[in-house]
Amino acid sequence: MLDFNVSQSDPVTLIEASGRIDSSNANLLGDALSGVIDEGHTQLVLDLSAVGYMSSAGLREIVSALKKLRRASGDLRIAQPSPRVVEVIEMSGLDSEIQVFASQAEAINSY
Amino acid sequence: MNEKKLRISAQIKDIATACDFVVAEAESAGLDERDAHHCQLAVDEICTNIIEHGYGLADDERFIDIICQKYDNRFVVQILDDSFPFDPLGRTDPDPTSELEDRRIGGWGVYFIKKMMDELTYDYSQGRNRLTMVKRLKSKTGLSENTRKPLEPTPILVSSYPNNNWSIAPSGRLDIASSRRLEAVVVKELGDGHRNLILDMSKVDYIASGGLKILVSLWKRTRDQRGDLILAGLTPSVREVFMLIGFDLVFTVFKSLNEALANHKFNSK
Repeated sequence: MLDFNVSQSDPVTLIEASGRIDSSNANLLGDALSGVIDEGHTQLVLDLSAVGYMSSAGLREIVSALKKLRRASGDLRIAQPSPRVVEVIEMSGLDSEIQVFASQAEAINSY
Repeated sequence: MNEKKLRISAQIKDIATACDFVVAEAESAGLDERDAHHCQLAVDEICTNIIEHGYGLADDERFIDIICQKYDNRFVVQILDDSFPFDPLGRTDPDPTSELEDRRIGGWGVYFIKKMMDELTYDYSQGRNRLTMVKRLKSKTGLSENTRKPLEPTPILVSSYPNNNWSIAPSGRLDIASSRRLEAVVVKELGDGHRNLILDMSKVDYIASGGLKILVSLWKRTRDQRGDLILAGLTPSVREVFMLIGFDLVFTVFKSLNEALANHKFNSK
């Protein structure tokens, strides 16, 4: 099961994901992110505290959203990923491209 | 551990079942949570590849077999499928240092597998692709040679103290390669006439059997030149190995470098 809760904390849009992100459902993460971006929001925080597992399929959606946002001078920042998710982000080298914060508040206030 | 086998239909939704199976087997084989996660991620990534690229999506007539086995200190996972012959390891790796715009979208799954697993073999026989992935079990005593990937060589620090005492501080893993570098340092110090040697081990978190052998030969060598080599600041994992093989009876060991400097009386001044 993978769920999303989207809320506005102006100027930031917060997307809280919960569940397991793999090839069976990563498209839902892609949809959630594109939905927010298509509404014109460009300052996003993706909270991954309730995601215990993410495969490269999830990473792929994050990279596409990030590319889209950067072109629109926006950004996607990650808040409180679990150790296993951090490992995946670091393995892909994406940690040098995306900002990761230890808490939701820090991520939101970073904008 | 006997061979355990799971067959899933070649559908993305069934991969989670394979993941649960592998995690359970990995944990019962004695892998820790992080290593079990590596196995899970590896199985997830390779099954996803087989289904998306090998079979074409949603082919429930086909299946993938996952076989787990513990063999000595190795947890072995075999993934078998009968789609067209394809070596997943043959593909060029994506570049993790590439900038966002140039980042490759696909290919990360197999790259992760290569990073996470200790051994990988692909073969095609009897009409089936087989990927064999091995995760080595970490040795509790730290005696095993092959539990972690080698680190960059770290500097070995030499410092001089009153009474012609010298400390030599290696760091990280003391395996054959790093012990040879330590050997070179000790030989140089002896050549310079420094015979009161304290090996500061406080930054050594792992010692391999090859490292232990070299340590003994260095101790003998120092003694032969009328010097002494004592040890200080063993970390818990190294101390455990020392006690296990009785090295604590051979070497003079102090809790810390400072304690060694304050309390040990070398014979030569």
